[in-house]
Parts: sequence; C-alpha cells; structure tokens
Amino acid sequence: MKTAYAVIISLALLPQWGMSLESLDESQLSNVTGEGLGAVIENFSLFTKLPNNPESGELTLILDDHETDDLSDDDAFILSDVRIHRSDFDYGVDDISTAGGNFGSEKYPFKAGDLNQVSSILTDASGKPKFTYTALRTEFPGGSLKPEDLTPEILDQLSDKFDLSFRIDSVIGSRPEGEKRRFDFSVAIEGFRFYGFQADTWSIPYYGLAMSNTIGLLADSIVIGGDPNGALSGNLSLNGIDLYLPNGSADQPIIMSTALVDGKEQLQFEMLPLTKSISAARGADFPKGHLRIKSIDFGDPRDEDLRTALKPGGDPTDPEAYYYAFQPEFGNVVELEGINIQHLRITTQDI
Amino acid sequence: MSIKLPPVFRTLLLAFPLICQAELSAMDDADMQSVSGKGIEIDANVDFAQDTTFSYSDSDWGTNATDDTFIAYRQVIVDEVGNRLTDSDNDGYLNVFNNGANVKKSDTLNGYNVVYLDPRPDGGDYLIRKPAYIMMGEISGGISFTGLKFDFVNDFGYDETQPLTEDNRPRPAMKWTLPDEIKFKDFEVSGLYISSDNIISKNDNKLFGVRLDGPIYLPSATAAYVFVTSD
Repeated sequence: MKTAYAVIISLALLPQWGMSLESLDESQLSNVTGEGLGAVIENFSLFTKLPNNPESGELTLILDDHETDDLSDDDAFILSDVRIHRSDFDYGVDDISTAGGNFGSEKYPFKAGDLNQVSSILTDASGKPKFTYTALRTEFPGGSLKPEDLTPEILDQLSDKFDLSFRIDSVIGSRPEGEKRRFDFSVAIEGFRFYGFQADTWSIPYYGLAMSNTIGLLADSIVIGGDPNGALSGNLSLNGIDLYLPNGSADQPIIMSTALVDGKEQLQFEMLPLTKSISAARGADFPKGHLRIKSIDFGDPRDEDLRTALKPGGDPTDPEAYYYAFQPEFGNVVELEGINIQHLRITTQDI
Repeated sequence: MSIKLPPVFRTLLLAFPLICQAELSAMDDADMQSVSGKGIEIDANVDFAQDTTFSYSDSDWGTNATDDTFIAYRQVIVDEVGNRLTDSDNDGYLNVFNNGANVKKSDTLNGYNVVYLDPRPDGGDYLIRKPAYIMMGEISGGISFTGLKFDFVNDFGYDETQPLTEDNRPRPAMKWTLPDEIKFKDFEVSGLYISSDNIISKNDNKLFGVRLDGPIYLPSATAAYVFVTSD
C-alpha cells in the first residue's frame, strides 16, 4: 500500500500535471521573442554536374505517369544542369572548390523558430487590435529590412552575389521517333541577393494554417534562354531587377486548403480578400511592393545584324560604338510601383 | 490492493518529481567552449523501402492501395478559442463547438470559400467546406552521402585582425559541414494527392510526382554555423 501511495504522491507532485496549454500573454511572449536559431552558411555552391565528370543529377516533375510503372511514357518536366555559385566564379575555368559564397552573417543570419506577434490593424472599441496571434517566424539574412533600409554596406553583410542557372526539358505528348526529351528553356539569374525575405506562419480561427511573407530580390539580370546551345540570339534578358513584394498580412493571410472543383478535390492557396475596412485602416503608409527592371534585351544585344548606325565619332571596331535596333539605350525601363494584391486564389487543375 | 516493489524502485518513484523538475538549462559560453572541437560525423545510406510501393500492373489495385510511407496535411478548422469545428450534424456546414448551431458569417474573419444561405451579415449559415487531406505519398528509392559532420566551435563571428569588442568576440556555435556529394538513386515521391481520408486510393486526385536521380554536388566545403539568437 505504501508503494501505491508513493506512486500517487509522485504523480501529484509532478509540476506539469494538469497544467493546460494556454496561449502566451504579452509579457511571456516578450521573454521568448527574438530568441530562436540562427544560421550562417559559408562557401555554399551546388551543382548537378561538374566539369569533366559524366555523372549528372536531375529532378523530374511527373505530371502524369499514365498509371504504369514504365518511366519512359511519363509526361514530365525535367530540371537539369543546376548551378548555384558565387557570382564572380567562372564555371569550367576556375577551380570548382572555389565556387562557394556566403549566405548571411552573424548580424544578419538565417533565422528559424522565432516567435512573433501578428496583430490586426483593425481595432476594437478600446483601441486594441481586433486580434493578435502568435506566429512562427522564419527569415533569410536581412529578412526584416525594407527597401529604404538598404545600403551597399548592408547588402555586403547579407550575402555574396550569387548566380543560379538551370535548364528545363519536357517529355509531354507524342514525340518524334528517337526524341527522348525536348529542350524548353534555360534560366540564368545572375548576381542575385535576397533581402526582406521573411515568412510568418500561424493558425487562425475558422481557417487553419495561415501565412504571410515578404520577398525582396536584387539581381543583375535574369536571362531566359530559348536555344539549347546557349546562343545569345535566343535570349530574353531582364537587366537590373529590383523586386519587393509583401504577400499577405495578419488581416489578409494566405491560407492553404483544398477545394472541390468539377467533382475533384484540388489543392488551393488563397490570399483572403482585401476588404473595405482593412483597406481603409491601412492608410497611405502601408508597405506596398514594387518591380523595377532597368532594361530589357531581346536576342543578342550586340548582334551585328541589328546595328542601325555608328555613333558620331565612334570607333567602327568597337561594338559599343553602334546604335542597335530594339535595344534603346534609354527608355525601355519597367517600373511597377505600389503593388498591392487584392485577392489571389491559386487552384490546381487537371489538364 | 497492495503492490510489492523492490525498495530501489520505491526510491526511484519517490524521486520522480525531483527528476522531472530538473530544468534543461542553456550552456553558457564558457561551458560551450570546453566542449568545442568535439563532434560527430555521419555517413548515411537510406533506402525508402522500395518494395512497399504498389504496382499499377496489379489488377487487384483496390481502394486501399496505400503505401506506408507518406506525409499528410489537413486544414483543421478551429473557433476563436481553439476548439476544433466539425460538421457534426452532417448538413454540409460546420457547427459551433458544443452548441450545434452552424457557424455564422459574423463569426468568421474574412470571406472565404463560402456559400451564403442568407446574405445578411449576421443571419444565415456560412459554409466552410469539409477540408480534404493533402498527402505526399509513396516515397521510394535511396539517398546516400558521406561526411556530414557536426562540430562545436568556439570562434564563430570573431575577426582576429580586429580589436576584441562586444560585437567582435568569439562565440560558440555548432558547425555542420555538408557532404560534398549527395547521391539519389531513383528517389521518388510518386504523388502529391488530395484525399478525403488519410489513405491514398485510386480515385484520389494525384497532382504530380517528383523524382530525383543522380548526384548533387556541394564541391566547395560548404558549412553552416548554427547558433542561438537573442534580441
């Protein structure tokens, strides 16, 4: 009997016993806010193929396997020749072990597991936010920086400039005899850095999982190539990219769910509608997104066939001394300011 | 009822609360530095049970042809105090917990995936569909790598060429050295499915699958330093 009492007393003394899970109040939260895991990545580079090495890796997105085990009849997109390396590294020329660059610094690390409060901008009668949730925050180096915070010194602390390139092939529908896959396009993002890249995840009543994030990207160029051998004539180049896009907020989160479409369940991402009251409460200072592209080139920007005239006093042997058709030196700038998503719904579809 | 236990067990049971109350305290910098330089190295070769994937050629492909390796997510709908809402009376509308009344338009945060029976703000039932499972299923194939290393280091964030300050001082961190090659052998997640239950069956919508084959190289001695951040 004594032992039985011992068990009961032991259980009764367990400090956790009977304690219910309650949400954190503000003072408790301030004790944990800002604490989480940070990470800095040094010498990062990634390749699916190395120079002078026949082995290569690839990622296949299988759209339809036609319900057979035979891989050769799959309809698929194939991602291959992926290269991520420091921007001033020259693939095939420089020693591959020097390809790495740094992401993050001690001041601006990757962050995970940081608890954070997200509050409605709508207020109740007493002036308090209509609701406040505790969210889990994940961010890339400099995730809380806004476009106006950026300086060259801060950018250098966020990360080195990186290049990312890959090619996409497809095997969809009937193909000529002997053709296994068809080259679709290649993408090269040169000299890019992220900033302001931050995501909050929480749960809200009636909806479940909710997310909001911002993305900031600076890149020297994005080149979409239409030629399998990389000929410049097949390129579309967007130069001097500056993208900043806030997606969702506490009042207008992104919800991941499922939807019944034509009798079939589909995956759905939806950014909830921007209602009149939220829009009014935001005011003019609410952060909006932008996309700026300094110039756009079609084809080879220095194609001899596109020369229209020699610049006055220019050296005829210097390609830069000519004017080129479709490549105006000024004026082909794209600027989208004040991007503000009203409502977004992405639903998968059977094709 | 009397339970006979050896005295040593009784002592252990009595000590239980004390054991449970022992707190996990964070290591301070000095403790951390004393373990610095010790680490582990992992070589792995993981085979995701290729034999458990089902075969389409099997004519008995029933309604329960699930694979045992899957990850499922389902939108769980809760009310504002966290109670889970379900369509308990099966009328196609979610019910307020412990009440039985259908969830109203005024109860919800915003407009979403809805059918109004009565368009007035406070009147009328508000439909939120019964959510389905999103499942990543039939994981097969293999992954192998060598030389994933974990080490404690004590000189993170310190530039020796600069004077020692509050900002520039050695700090402890865990260093992960990533393998220089990760090999995938027909590693496949054969489908992202949408399912009404957490069993993959033939009628569930299969959105797409992903296959990784061949090597991924990290040739530049990539390392990640992980540390605890504070305000």
